[in-house]
Amino acid sequence: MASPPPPEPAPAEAGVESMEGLVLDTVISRAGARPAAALACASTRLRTAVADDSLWRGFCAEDLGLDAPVDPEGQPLPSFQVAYKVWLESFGMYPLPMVKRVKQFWTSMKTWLSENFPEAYRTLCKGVSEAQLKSAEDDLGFKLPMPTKLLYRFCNAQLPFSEDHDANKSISTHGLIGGYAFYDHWVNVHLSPLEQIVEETKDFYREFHDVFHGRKFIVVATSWFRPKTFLLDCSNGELYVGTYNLTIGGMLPCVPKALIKPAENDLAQDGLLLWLEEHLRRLQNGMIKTRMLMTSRYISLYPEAPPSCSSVVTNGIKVRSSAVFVPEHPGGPGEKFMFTYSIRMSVPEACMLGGVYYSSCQLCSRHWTIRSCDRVVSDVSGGGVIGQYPVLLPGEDEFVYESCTPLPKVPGSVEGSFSFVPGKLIRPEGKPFEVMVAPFPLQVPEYIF
Amino acid sequence: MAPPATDAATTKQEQQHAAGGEGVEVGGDLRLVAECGTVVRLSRSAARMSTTLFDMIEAGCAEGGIPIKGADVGTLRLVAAYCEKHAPHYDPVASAARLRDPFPPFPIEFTPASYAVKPVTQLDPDPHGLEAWDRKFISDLPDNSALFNLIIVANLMAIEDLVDLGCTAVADKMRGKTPDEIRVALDIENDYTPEQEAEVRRENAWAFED
Repeated sequence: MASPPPPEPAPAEAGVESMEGLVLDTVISRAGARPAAALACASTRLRTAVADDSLWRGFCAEDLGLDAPVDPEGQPLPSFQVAYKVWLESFGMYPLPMVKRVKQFWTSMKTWLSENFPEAYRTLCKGVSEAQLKSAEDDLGFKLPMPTKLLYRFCNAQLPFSEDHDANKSISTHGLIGGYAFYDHWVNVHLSPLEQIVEETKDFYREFHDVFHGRKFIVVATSWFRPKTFLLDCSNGELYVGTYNLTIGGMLPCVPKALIKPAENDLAQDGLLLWLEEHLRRLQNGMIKTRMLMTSRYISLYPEAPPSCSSVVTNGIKVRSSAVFVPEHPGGPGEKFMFTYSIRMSVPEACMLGGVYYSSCQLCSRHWTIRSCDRVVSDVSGGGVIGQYPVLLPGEDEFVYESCTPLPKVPGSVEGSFSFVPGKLIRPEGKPFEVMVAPFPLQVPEYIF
Repeated sequence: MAPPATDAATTKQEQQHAAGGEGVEVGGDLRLVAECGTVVRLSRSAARMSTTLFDMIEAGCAEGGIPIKGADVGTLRLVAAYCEKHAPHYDPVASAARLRDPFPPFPIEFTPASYAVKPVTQLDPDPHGLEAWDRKFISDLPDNSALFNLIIVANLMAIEDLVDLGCTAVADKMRGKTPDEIRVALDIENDYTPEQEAEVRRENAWAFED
């Protein structure tokens, strides 16, 4: 007779602490940093388990984009666990995904500047404190958008205007946003530090009281040289650029409205953050580059790559051309829009005509066809370009010049051609020939800088 | 003669068979032996989910009883149930690529198995009902001890997916709770002296600020 089976023994009581180290680590890393800290307070053994710094290395990377145990000033700390604590004490009042995103932005921007435009890198100032932000908000009488506050916590933009005229002059072309120069219209946009924002905003409201009364605008970026003003609407996060009609409230959005998200959640993004991130992207992918204006470097806003920049080679002569919308400049009577364009010409290898190579060629005249909504609005010819007759030699740097054109309606385009002679105008080595300028667009862009 | 009603009686006979070397089926179910001696059967396809058992099958030493030291029979049965349920849809490449170290110091190259053609838009995120089954599986566990034992045994047997499931369940119990609440949720005994506790709470004050 079979005996009844022995009772199955009850399993041993298992606790959290009885899980093997690596498994416990998995649990803790899944739970997240705050639960880990709470767990450490539960028992001494768990405190030891939570103190495994590889866990905190993971939390720092995941939550903060931090890959070394340093404090927000870059000073080394003894462990990732301490680093997480220090960062949370400093930035815990913001959603961490935002902290990570803004930190990433400034790190990348500073890296790009230190490699490509160290003079501008040197104008960047240390971030402000929460107390300074609160003081600014009290001064202004309204709150700043959350992404903007975070931007200024990490970096207080650029050196302000000072009393010292020479100091101003030396950094005048080092604007973070940059600009353009055509004829006497020079523009170079700097990002304003917090103190300057408050001061200029107050001046602004005094000067244009009727237009802006009751609104919550702040002046975040301004041009040194000709005036160009960027305004952030703190009530909804939208960023605007003042047009030539700013005195009566004329302004245009600088960022697609659909991208702006309210500041109540982790995915908040305001116009200033989006604008700066887009600007950085263009710098990183070479759409815009630095140029020299005499002996000063500046960020030039003329696009360098298609589709905004057209390029064509005729008989070995390469012509690249692109335009930038100029909101702060009136086109002229009856013309609503103004554009500046930059033409670059060079001979990359050799100038060749009918099987014969020439050692040089010189421009003698230009011809432009300007269209507005596909209708020709201007058909002009003239000698030289901006009063010059450039000689092009093979292998030399591009000859670059800027000019402008008004336009009644957008979109439009410019195309044309130059007449060149082989050799020199004073001693031509052959008959004049046409060099094409491929059409390039004139449009009000989604992002205005 | 009493009918062979209980598992224990039947498996004891099979154990005697195995020990005696009679009627051992090659290619049949595996026989896992719990700490108390009870055998839990596991089909070969389900055993693939345990890296340990898979290696043993490949090495040809999975015949006869396989002792799982430290595993009680209740937990072993749960593990077996999990494996049997997941086995038909198990993709070893997708699972093995998930390294145990949640934050490895190098990037993981993830090449999806060539036969795993996934549609661009998955209309049903849980086509086989496995996620729903997993949720019920975890919620049906009687207490925390059962959950921890499950993780321990799954870890012993190197069943990555089950360890994952278990760890996530424990992690979920921790979120959004104060230390006192976590102690209750996970049956943790407080072994701090009052001074120690005050000190550790001060250290971790950043986690509780609002």
